[in-house]
Amino acid sequence: MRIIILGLGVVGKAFLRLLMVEKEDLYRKYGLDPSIVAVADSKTAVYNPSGLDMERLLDHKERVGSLEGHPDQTDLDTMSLVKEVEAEVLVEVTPSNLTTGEPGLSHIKGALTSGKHVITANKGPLALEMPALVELFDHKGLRILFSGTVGGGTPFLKFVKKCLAGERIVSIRGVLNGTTNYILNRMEHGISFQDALKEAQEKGYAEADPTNDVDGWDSAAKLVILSNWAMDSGVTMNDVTVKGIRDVVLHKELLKEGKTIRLIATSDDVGLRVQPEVLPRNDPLVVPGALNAVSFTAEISGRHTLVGKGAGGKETAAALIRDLVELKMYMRGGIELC
Amino acid sequence: MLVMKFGGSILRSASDYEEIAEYLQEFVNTERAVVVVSAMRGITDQLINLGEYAARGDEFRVKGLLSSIREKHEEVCQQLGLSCKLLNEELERLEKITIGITYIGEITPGLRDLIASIGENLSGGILSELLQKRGIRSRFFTGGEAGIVTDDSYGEAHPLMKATRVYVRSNLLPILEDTVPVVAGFSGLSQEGKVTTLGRGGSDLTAVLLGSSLEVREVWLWSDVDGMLTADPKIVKDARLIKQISYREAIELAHFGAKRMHPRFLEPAIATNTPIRIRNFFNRDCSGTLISSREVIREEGVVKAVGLRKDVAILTVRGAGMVGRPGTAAKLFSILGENRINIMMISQSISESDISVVVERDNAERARGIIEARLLGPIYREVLLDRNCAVLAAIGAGMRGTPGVAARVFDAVSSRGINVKMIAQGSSEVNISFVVDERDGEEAVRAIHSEFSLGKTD
Repeated sequence: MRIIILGLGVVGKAFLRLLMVEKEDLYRKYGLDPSIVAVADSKTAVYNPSGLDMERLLDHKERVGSLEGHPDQTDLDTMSLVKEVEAEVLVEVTPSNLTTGEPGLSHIKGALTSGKHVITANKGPLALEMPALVELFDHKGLRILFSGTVGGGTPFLKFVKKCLAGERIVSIRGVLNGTTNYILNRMEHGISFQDALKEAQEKGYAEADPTNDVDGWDSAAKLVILSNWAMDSGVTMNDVTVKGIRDVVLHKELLKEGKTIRLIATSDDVGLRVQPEVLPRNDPLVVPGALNAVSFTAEISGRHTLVGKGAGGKETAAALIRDLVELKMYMRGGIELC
Repeated sequence: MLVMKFGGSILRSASDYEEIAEYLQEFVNTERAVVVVSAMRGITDQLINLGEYAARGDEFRVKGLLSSIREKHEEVCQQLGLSCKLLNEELERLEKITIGITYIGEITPGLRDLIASIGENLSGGILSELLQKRGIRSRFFTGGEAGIVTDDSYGEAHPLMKATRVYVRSNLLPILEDTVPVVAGFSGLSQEGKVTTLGRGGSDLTAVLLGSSLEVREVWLWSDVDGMLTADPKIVKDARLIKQISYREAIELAHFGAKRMHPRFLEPAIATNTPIRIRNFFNRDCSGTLISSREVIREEGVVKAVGLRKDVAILTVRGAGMVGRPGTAAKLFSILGENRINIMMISQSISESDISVVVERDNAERARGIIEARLLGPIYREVLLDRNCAVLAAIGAGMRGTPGVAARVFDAVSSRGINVKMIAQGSSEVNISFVVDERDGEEAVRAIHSEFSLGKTD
């Protein structure tokens, strides 16, 4: 299976590494023999129709810091790579932009018009156009898979679709952003929002520009994906009411009452919203550290909560590999995709 | 917010555009509106002919039609005092395309749609500029620019609803605050970015797609009829306007009536529960017919309307050998389908020794010929054609739970000495259809209309 990878940051690199580590297993178990024909980071692209040497590619990237000077370097820009290079799959892992969706959105549409399946961990394009993208890919007989967009390596999406198949999901409630959860946990110990944020940045949980995390946009994007996926709600980012945690004050009295505050993303019959909410501390959604948690309420069997690490390069790469296996199974025929 | 569609029947001259603009100018003071326009009356047919003449390389006719289309629109522009820049660009494009086709002498389905879609662009360009001239901020959108995405079945493209919803919302919502969008009806864009058309009644579908995507209060379809009627007023003197009707009933009724509509346009509204109102622009005091999810049951009975289709025939195949033999009906239907003969109604008795189908009379002899040639033999022993027939449909939701509706229908008909030849009722029970001799058609309509007191106001 020929693969184009766009984006060679933490997730892209982890994905390549995992492909190398799992190579034999993937081949033996699933007949999956991936061949990476093109890779682009933010500046440079490399292309080799017979497949790039993954190990040398990663070495080069580590040594030089970019793909500049790689023997297979090409002048093609990323859009031309998507459209003109022959491949079965595009793995789109460029950084998420929640306002324009770019460059991911154009890459994904390019894959659609040139007949490639897409596996992505990029939230932006889906947050903005998920109902459209899924319908358009479906209509062309192509697949777009995005397990890695929500919950990193925790299989929230696959859980709700496969394990709860046949039931109507009436609500989704979750802690979808690890950074804010970490900050709120620290604030329970009397640390101010600002200090907790600084701590999160030092530990590498929060980005230099924490806006998307602390103002709730990252949670909103993931909520849109979950809601479309599990409830077929046909929504986009504009349909979410969003409030972040900048103004949250955690009073001691609240904690004494056995309660706390968490940034909760909800999708139910009222609509979609992200806001800080007071919860009893024994609620399954009150999780420590930078963990994520999602409760799916199914019409018959009730509430099911899944807790897991919500981010991380290796974990997200694992989700991409799962999607790749799923795609391979689909292309070979037989197993139903979800 | 409303979506308003102005149909071709009310777009005949400069004064029609003037009246619409005046109406809109007043309306948008009270509520926001998205406007959908059809082509000027007769233009879409001319454009379709234009494509065909061009494909035959008939330069003479092509040039004649082109200049008549140009003159008609330029006249409107001049009378309205508009620059019509957009109009000229579109006309030039049309001329280039058709002259190209004329030289090659060949047309593709995609080009056919591209040409047919231009009438709405011309009309929309005029209305949008006229609104601007009156000081209303307005912008023209083709169907594709507004966000309508379809598959690539040219000529009768199917909208991809979810994609359309996302793109209509992102294209129109940001400008609605201070701008009146004027959207060309009838067309959309395929995924490959090619212009497609939505088939007969396509502008109604455009309006409903936009209304459903934007979740508007109501979609108003303006034309020159008051709405849906209980029966054809030429047949029944006291035929009356139906003020309110459900989607399911409207789907059944759309085929009949003065303005024959393709019920496809109702589909997107059902999903989002968007009410649709059919209104007469030349009789604006009349509130028209409201189509919504509400099913009103009248005291006089569940039947709300009665429709009549003349010029049909019953084709019957008969044979004892057909009994208990799987596939006999399938064979009949697939042969008719292969020959593009539409089956309007189907009936088979439990004995299975005959199957009857209703077809349009224009196709009847051809259908008979083909079926005789392909099927007549040891299994299908006889092929019969009853040429002069009419189909009636008594329409109204709630027949399921109400015993005796069919009895009342057939009693009313038989009490006037009319023989019923064939009956079909779908299990949804919104409709009882039956066939009578063509001579008896109108009398049967009057019989049902009076039995259920359809002339009495709600």
